[in-house]
Amino acid sequence: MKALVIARLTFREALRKRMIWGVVLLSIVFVALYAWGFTQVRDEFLREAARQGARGNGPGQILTLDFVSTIMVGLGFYTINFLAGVMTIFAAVGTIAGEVETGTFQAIVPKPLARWELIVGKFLGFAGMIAAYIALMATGVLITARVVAGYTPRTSCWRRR
Amino acid sequence: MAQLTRTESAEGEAGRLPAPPLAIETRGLRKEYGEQVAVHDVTIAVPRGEVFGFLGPNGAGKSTTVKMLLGLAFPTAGEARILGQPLGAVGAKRRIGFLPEQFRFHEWLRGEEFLDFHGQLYGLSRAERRRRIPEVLELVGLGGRGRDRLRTYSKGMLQRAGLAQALLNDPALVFLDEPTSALDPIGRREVRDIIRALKARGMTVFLNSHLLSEVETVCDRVAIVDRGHVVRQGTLKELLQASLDVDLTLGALDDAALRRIEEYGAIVAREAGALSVRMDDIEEVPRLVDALVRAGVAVYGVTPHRRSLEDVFLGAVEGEPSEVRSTQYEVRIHPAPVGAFGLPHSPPPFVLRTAYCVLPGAQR
Repeated sequence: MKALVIARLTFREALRKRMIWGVVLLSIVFVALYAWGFTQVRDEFLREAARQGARGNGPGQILTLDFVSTIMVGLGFYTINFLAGVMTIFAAVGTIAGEVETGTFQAIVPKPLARWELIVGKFLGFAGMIAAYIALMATGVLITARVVAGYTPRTSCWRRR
Repeated sequence: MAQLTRTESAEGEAGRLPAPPLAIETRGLRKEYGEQVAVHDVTIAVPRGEVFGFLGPNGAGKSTTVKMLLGLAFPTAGEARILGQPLGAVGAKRRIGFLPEQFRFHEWLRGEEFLDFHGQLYGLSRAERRRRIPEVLELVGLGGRGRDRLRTYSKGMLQRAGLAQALLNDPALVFLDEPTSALDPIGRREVRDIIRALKARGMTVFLNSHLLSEVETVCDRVAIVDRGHVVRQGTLKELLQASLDVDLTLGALDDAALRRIEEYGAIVAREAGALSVRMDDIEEVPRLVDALVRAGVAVYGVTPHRRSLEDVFLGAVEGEPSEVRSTQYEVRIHPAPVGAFGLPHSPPPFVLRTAYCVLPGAQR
């Protein structure tokens, strides 16, 4: 219960860091570039398919637009994974050491809560923030794929019939 | 669990016996940081409902001791009970308040948010917090400033906010580490009044302070630590009356009379016709006078000087310096009814403070 109190403050504090907004700005730039690149790849693919069709080779049987989109979405997710990792490190590094240093912990540790609650609270606060970030970024990538190539990753729950 | 039961039964017996229950009890508390020994051996007893002053020079181990009592540091050896419970017990922590020295905050919070956060950590319900936060803000003199961000507070206001935080849960025991260090004289007096008000409500206050005058005015009991040891402990009265210097203005003295005097205490200063005697008990003074009169010595004046807490403190920490002063370079101007910090005060009629003026090298 007390861990959630710590988590809430940690979350709010994390959102106050200027670095976070830098990362968010970069992420918006990334999504924009990603959408532009995706469009380029799609156009290139469609031109190539048309050229092959004119030579009478017919559209590729193996290399379809869906296949290209799968690769592009995979690349997008990979980048998000990387950005989230960087963000985790920068947001959370030295958080406990820092609070010990500045002395804010001096008033928190003597409160009636176990030390593990403090650690778990800190973890949950940052985990919540990173999860929200990943969710937003993944949504950006998936919407791009949907708009640019009409592609939605097929999983067992989203199977198109 | 067995220990807890024992304590409870001991407290039950305390109802019949006059021994007061203790808020803090430590035995041989010790803290080592690698090779460094920060605290050698701290054994103190703080009765409930008293204001306890914890004194000592910088680096004596005061803060480390407080940290151990609050669970911020784990002792290397020794044991302690806080409000009858072993160190680190969450149940005891619920009834403890702490104002750290140089309290640092999450400065982006509003005053009320800050107190709400700490109230939640204490486990106060929403209703309790809503009732308690304006109360403590009013108590520390921050009424109406709860909606401002802590960033906009002055140093003194932050100190008050820290105090408000320590009092949120209406604790049975509150630790104040240098509570007045950032305050102006008016703020200091207000904090002193708050401490007295807390005591009147039955709270135990553990006061860590360098300001001896402050300790002298509010504390019931004092412990002096030096280099990790408790060197003096007792009620303020005991400490201040443990020894006193008595200035005697006398007629002609022979060696026999001098030996007579030395039976009552060491002669710490001697001039023509005047003596200063270090005695243990003010009750001895009439007996000394009686002995002198019987020995045929003319007694013109007897002036006992109660020692100030500063004298006791310096004596405890540096080893009796007044003896060094008296043989080497003491210039004593008396009587001057002035307190330890040059502040006038009203002592009981027979007590006159002495202003010491120490001039190194001024041999007598």
